[in-house]
Amino acid sequence: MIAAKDLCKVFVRNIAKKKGMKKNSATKEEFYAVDHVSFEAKPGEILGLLGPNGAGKTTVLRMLGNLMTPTEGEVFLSDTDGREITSVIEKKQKIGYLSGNTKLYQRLSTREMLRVFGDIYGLDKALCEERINDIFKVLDMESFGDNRIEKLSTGQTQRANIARCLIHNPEVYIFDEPTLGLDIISSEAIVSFMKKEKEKGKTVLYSTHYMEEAQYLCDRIVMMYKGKVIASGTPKALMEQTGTDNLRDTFRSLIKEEETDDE
Amino acid sequence: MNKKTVFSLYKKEMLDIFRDKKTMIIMVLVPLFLYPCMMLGMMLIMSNISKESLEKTYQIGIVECEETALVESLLLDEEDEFEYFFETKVYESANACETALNAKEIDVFIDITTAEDGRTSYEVGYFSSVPDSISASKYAEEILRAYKNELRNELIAERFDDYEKVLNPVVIGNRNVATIEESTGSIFGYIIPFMLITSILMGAIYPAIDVTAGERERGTLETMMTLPVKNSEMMFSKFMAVSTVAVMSALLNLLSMFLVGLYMYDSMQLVDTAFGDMNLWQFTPSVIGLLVCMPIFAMFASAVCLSVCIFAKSFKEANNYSTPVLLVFMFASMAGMLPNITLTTKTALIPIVNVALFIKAVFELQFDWTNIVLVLLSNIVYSIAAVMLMSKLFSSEDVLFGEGFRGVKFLEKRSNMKAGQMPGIGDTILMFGLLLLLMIYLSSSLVFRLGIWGTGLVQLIILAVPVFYAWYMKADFKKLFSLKVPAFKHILGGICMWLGVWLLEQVVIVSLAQWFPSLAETSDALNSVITDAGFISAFIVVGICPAIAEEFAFRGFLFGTLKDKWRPWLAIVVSALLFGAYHMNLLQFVGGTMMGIAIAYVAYRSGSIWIGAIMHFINNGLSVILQYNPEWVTKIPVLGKEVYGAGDYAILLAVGAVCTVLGVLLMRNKHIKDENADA
Repeated sequence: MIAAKDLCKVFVRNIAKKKGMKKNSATKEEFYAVDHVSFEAKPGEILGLLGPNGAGKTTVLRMLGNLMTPTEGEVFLSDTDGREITSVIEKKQKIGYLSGNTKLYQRLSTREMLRVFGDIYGLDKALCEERINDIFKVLDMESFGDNRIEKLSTGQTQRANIARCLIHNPEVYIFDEPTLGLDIISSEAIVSFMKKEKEKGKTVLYSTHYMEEAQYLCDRIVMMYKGKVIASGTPKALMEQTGTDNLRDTFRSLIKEEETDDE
Repeated sequence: MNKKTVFSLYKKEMLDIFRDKKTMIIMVLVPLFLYPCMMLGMMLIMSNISKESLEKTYQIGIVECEETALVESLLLDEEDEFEYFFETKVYESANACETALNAKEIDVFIDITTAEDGRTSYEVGYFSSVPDSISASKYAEEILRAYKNELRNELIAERFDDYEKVLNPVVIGNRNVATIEESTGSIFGYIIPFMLITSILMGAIYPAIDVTAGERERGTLETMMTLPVKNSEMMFSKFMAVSTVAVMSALLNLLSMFLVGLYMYDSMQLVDTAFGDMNLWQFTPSVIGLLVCMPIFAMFASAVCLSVCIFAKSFKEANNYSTPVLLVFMFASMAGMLPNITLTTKTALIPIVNVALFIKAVFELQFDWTNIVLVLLSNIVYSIAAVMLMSKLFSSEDVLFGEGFRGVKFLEKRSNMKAGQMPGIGDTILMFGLLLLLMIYLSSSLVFRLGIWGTGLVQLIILAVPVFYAWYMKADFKKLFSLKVPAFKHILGGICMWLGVWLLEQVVIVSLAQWFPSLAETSDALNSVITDAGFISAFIVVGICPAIAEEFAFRGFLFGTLKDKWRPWLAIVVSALLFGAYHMNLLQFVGGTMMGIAIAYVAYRSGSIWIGAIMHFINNGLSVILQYNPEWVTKIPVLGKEVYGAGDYAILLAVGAVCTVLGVLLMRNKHIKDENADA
C-alpha cells in the first residue's frame, strides 16, 4: 500500500471557463460557466462538489480531468516534493476520470479494453494482466469480464467503467455523478469503492445530487451556484453555519440565500 | 509522438473496426461478390440476347408479285453465308403486310415495286419500337444487299474483262501496329483507374466515419481524452487504421477484378479471338506498379476522408460531407479516360488525377521513372501533411463540448454574418482551392485566347475572389488584408530582404536545375506570350498586376487568416508553401516558397501588405526587364556568369545572407507584441 504522504494534492487556482451561448446563428453571448473558482483536495480525502443543475460542477471536473482547458487560471497536481505537475499528459497519468459521458467501446470486452488502456498508460504486459485479475476480483466482474461490453447490463457497464479508471492505479479520482441512474446495490458498490480508495490515501473528487450520500461520504464539500463557490467546508460545519440538521436543508438554505442576494 | 501509444491505439482501432458488421460487409462482400455477379450477369444477359436474336425464326411478309418466289428463295436459302432463319408469308398488297405487322403476325415485310426507270425496288418495312422487328429488318436487308451486289458484279463482269479493277481501282486497308497487349493495356488503363480509385475511397470512407464521428457519437471519444494521449498520436493511429482497411479493401477489389478478368479471358480464348494469343505476362510490371501505388493512394484517400469526417458532429453529418468527396474522386479518376491528358511532371502533382494517369501509363507499358517517383512521393507528402494539419486543427474540446468546427464562414447567409469577423481555417482551404482551380482551368485557356491580356484578366479575377469573399462575410478589411501604411524603415527593410532572398533563390534554383535538368525546361509558349506582347503591356501585366492581386490573395486573405489562428512562424511557412504550390512548377515552387516566407515575414512585422507588393513588383518587374534585355544579365557581376564556380556560389550566398539579415534587422518592430495582443 502506498503511504498517504506519497500521493498528489490537487490544486485548483482561480480557474474560469468562458462559454458562448448562441442566441441565433450570428450573435453569441459569452458568459462564465465557471467564474474564478479555487479549492484544493488533499490525499485521503473525499471532496464533494454540490450544486443545482447548471452550477458548473461538470465543467470544473472536466477541467480537472484535462478534457477542457480553463480560459483563465490553472489546475495542477503537486507531489510530495512540492513539484507542480502541469503537463497534461503527466496529469492524465495520475488521474482516473469517470462521468456519465465516458462511454466504453461496445465491440470490445472489458478485458480487451483494459489491455489497450493499460498499454497506453505504459504498464508492462505481466503487470497489466495481474491488475486486470485483481480488479475483476475486487469489482466482482469475473463472470462477465470477457463478454463484449454491448452485452452488459447498466450496472455491469458502470463497473466496467470503474475498472477502466482503475487500471493505471491513479492517485486522484474524478467522478462526475457516478451513482446516477444505478440501482441500490450497484451504487452501494461504488460508494464503498470510493471509501476504500480514500482509506488507501487517494484523493477523490466527486459531484452528486444525492445529499444523503454526500453527507455520509464527503470529508469536505464545495457548494457551487451559477459558476461560483458559495460555501465550502466539512458537512458538519456547513450544517452548523446554516443551522440545519441535514445536508438537504443546508443546500436549500444556501441556495435561497444566494438567490435573495442576487435580487 | 510515442510509437507504443500509437501502436496500442492502432490495435484498438483495428479490433473495433473488424468487429463492426457493416464495415465487413462493405469491405469483403461488396468486392468479392458484387463485381463478379455484376460482370458475369451482364455477360450472360448479353450473350443470351445475341444468341436469341440469332437463333430465332422471324416471320416475314412478302407482297405478291413476279419477284416473290425469288425473294422467298433468297430468304429461305440455307446454304448461303447467313445464318438467319425466316418463315415467309405472302400477302396480296403492301397494305395487307402493314396490317399484319401492326397485328404482330409478322416481324417484318418486303414491299416489291417497280421504279420509273424499270428497276425493281425492294423496301423492308419494320416497326422501329419492336426490337425483334429491327433485327429482322437488318437481317433481311443484309440478304437483299448481298443479292444486289451479286447482280452488280455479274453486270460489270459482262462488260469488262477485268471487273475487279473497275470495282476497286485502288486498294485501301489498315494495319494496327500496336500489339494486342498494347491495345488491351490501353483499355485496362481506361477502366482500372476509375474502378480502383472509387473502390479505395469506398473502402476508406466507412471506417473513417466510424473512427471519427462514430466514436464521438458513441461517447467513447470523451473516454479516449481521459487517456494520456496526444492529438497527433490519436490522429496518426486512426489514419493508420483507416489506411489499413482501405488497402485491404482495395486488394480484395483487385483480386476480385483479377479473377473475373481471368474468367473472361478464359472464355474469350475458347471463342478463339485475337485475345487468345495475348501474353498476359507482359503486364507483370504494370501489376507491380499497381500494387505499389495502391497502398500509397489508400493512405491519401484515408487522409482526405479523415480530414473531412473528423470535424463532423454525427454520423449523418459525416455522411453528408463525404458525398461531395466521393464525387470529386470519381470525376478526377476519369482523367485517365481523357485522350489528351498524360502523366507529366505537372500532372504528377495533381492529387487523384496523378494516380489515374499513373495507372493508365503503367498499363500502356510506359515507365517514366521521374514521374512515377513524383506521383508516389507527392501522395505520401500530401497524406502526411493532411494528418499533421489535422492534429493541429483538431481540438478535442471544441469537437466534444463546443459547437463543432465552424471554419467555413462562407456557407452562412450574408445577413447572418457578424461584421468585422475573420475567416476560418476552412475558408483559407476553400480560398486556396478556388485560386488553384482558377490557375488550372482558367489561366491557360484565357492566355491561349487573349494572349498577355488573358494573364491580366486572370490576375484581376485573383484579386476579385478574395475581396468579394471578404466583402461577403463582412470581414474587417483593414485587419484581414493588413492595409496599414508602412513605415519608411520597413520599406527599406523589405527591399533589402527581397534582394537577399532573391540572391539565395537564384543559387538554389541554379543548383536544382543542374541536378535535375528536366526541371529547367521553361514553358516556351508562355515566354513567347510575354515577349510577343511588347514591353509596356508585359511590364504592366506581369510586373504590376500580380504584385497587387497575388499579394491580396496570399499575404492578405490567406496569411491574414492563418496569422489570426496560428503561431506566426507556422502561418508564415504554411502561407509560403501554399504560394509556392500555386505556381504549379517544381522550380517555381521552391522559389515561390522562399520568397513567400520573406514577404509573409515582412507583412507580419510591418503589419502592411504594401511592402510585399513593392517586393513582388521588383521581383516580377526585374524578370520582365531581363527577358526583354537578356544581354543585361551578363553585365551583372558574378550573377551574370554562365557557369558558377564554388567561389561564385560562396559570394552569392554570403551577399544574400547579409542582405537578408540586414532586412530582418530593419524589420524589427517594438510594437509588434502589443499590436498582436490588441488583435
